[in-house]
Amino acid sequence: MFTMFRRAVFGAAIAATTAAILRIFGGDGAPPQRGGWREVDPDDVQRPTSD
Amino acid sequence: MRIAIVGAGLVGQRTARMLASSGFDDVVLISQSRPIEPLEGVLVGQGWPHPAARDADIVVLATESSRQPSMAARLVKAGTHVVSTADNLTDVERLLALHETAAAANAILVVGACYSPGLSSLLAAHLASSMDHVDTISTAQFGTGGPACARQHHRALASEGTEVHQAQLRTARRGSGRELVWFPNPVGPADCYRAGLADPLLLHRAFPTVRRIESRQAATRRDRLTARLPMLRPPHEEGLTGAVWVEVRGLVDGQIEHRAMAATAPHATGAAAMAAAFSHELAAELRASVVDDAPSEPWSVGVNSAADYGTIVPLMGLMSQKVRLWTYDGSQIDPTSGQERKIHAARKWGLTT
Repeated sequence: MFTMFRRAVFGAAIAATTAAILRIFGGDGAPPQRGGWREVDPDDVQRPTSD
Repeated sequence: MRIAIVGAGLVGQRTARMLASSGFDDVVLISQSRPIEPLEGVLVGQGWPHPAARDADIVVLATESSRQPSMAARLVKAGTHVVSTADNLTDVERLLALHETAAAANAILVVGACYSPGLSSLLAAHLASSMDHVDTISTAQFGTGGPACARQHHRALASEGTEVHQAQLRTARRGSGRELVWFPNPVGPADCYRAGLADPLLLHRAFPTVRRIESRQAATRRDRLTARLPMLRPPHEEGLTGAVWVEVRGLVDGQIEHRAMAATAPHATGAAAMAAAFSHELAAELRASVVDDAPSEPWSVGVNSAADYGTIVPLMGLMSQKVRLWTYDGSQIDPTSGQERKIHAARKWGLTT
C-alpha cells in the first residue's frame, strides 16, 4: 500500500515538474496575442494568400 | 445543357437552386424515393435509373455516399460526366478506381466535390500554390449537414483512417491524435481526432511528394464513446454551422512558413456550393471543348478532384458567394524578448528542404 502511495506521489511530482518546465520555457504553444481569423473577400481570393 | 442532380436531400436541393439561379435553364432534380416539392426553375423527377439522368450532359450525385460508386460506374461507362459528393473513405477509393473506365469512355468524373473532402482540399491546394515547397498539410472538419452526413460522421469515428507519413499512405488509428483546432467564429475551438476521412487520400494523389498529410474530425466525448454503437437517436434534420480548417507548412523564399485558412457554412450549403461550382466550371469546359473535342487544362478525362484541379481561383470565386472564407493572421509576444513576432509552428516539424 505504501509502495503504491509512493509511486503515485512520484508520478504526480514528475507531471508537475514537466508542466512547470513547459509553462516556463514553452513559447509556441501560447495563443495569439494579436490578429486571428480575418474574413476573406471574394476579391482577395483572386490571388494567393500572403502574410 | 442539361444538368441532372440525383438525390433530393439538403445537398441535392441546394445544388439545384444554386445552378438554376446562376443561369442554367435545364436543371433536373431526381429523387430516388421521396416525393419532391417543386422548385423554381428546376424540373423534378423520381426513381433510379431515370431517363433525365441518362440524357444529361452532367450528373451531380448527391445521394447517400455508399450508392454513388455504382451509379457513377454506370454513368461514366455511358460517357456521362459526373460530379460526386461522396465523403466516405471506402466510397472515394471505389470512385478513384473508376479512372480507367471513365478515361476509356472519354468522361470526366469529379471526386470529392463536397465539404470535406472538397472545400478542405480546395483550400489546401490554394495555400500550397502560394508556397515554394510544401512539407505538411493538415485539415480538420467540424459539424454535419443532413441525416446522411451525420451518419457518415458517426461511421467515420469508428473507422480506420489514412494519413501520409514520409510521403507514404498508411493507416491511421481511429480516435487518436487529439488536437485542439481553433475554427473561426461562431464555431470556435474544438477537439479533433483521426477518423476515416478521405482528405489524405485525395491530397496525396494531388501532392505525392508532401511528407505529411493528416485529417481530423471534431468529436465530443459522447461521440467517441458511442462511435462503435448504432446511432442512439435519429440525426437532426440539419446540423448547425460547420467549418473546415486547413494548415499548410512549407517554405517561401527559403523561410519556413505556416499558413492557415478556414471556411464556415452549414455543411449542406458548403457541399452544394462545391458541387455547383464544379458543375459550373465543367459546363463551361464542355461548351468550349465542343470545338476541340478534348478537355483542356486543368481538366482531364478520368478522375479529377478539388485537390488536383489546377486553376482553383474560379472555383473559390464561385463558391465564396455562399461560404465564408477565412485566413489566419496570428502573431504572439516572444516571452524572452518581449517583441511581437509571427507564429512559426513549422519549426517544430523538422522541415526538410
